[in-house]
Amino acid sequence: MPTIHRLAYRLLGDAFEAEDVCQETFVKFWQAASGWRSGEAKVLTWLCRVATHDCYDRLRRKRPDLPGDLSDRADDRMGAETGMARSQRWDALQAAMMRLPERQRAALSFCYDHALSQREAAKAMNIGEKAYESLLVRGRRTLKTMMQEDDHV
Amino acid sequence: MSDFSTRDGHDNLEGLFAHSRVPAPSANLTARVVTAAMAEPRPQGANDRRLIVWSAVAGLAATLVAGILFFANQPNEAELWAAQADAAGFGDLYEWVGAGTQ
Repeated sequence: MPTIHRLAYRLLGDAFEAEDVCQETFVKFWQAASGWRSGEAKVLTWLCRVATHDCYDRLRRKRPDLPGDLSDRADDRMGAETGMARSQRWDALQAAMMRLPERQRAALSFCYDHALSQREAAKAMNIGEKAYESLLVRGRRTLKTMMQEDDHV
Repeated sequence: MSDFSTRDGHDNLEGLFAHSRVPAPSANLTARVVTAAMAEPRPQGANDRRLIVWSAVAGLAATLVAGILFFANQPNEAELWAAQADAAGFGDLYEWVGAGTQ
């Protein structure tokens, strides 16, 4: 549960909404459990996939302006918040994470919060390992730029 | 000022994530999830033997978890899920809980 909650928090930036994601994810797991076949997928990978897509859906509902394929555009809305407001709600890393595109945010969380191996993280995101690595490279670069910019504010 | 610019970005991200503040889930989240799960319709797969076990013990498991929550000030999540899994006959399925919450 803490793994799913942390992942959802990284993606949504809201601890209470992350709990809602946990609830929905585990209820779906509960419902799917009777049909589970061992060897089909690791349970944690399955849970992370469901949670990630739930988070994407929630972010999509908040940002209907973005194209349906999950854009790589940075989240300007989050950047519009004042530095003080952001620092009260999030620490510096999370504030920068919230300005990253959703998929980069997810890739970085999988990698640095050590939720899953690279292969499993790619599975959870429904992408290939190469695409996952690419998201990580772009995410690291963008995150570094954002945090360096914040240092100079 | 973050220390991001003073060290290599990749290595430093490990430290930043490790020290980043992430709120802990509410103490009652597990109970809330169990309650929500029990309120849902029965899972699909009527011919699956595990479903029969699942359905038969669901109420017992819910009672068990509620009892643990009642007696424990700080319920151990892994123990809760393990107890739930044992009661429901889904131990293998919940093995990840131990690894994921240590």
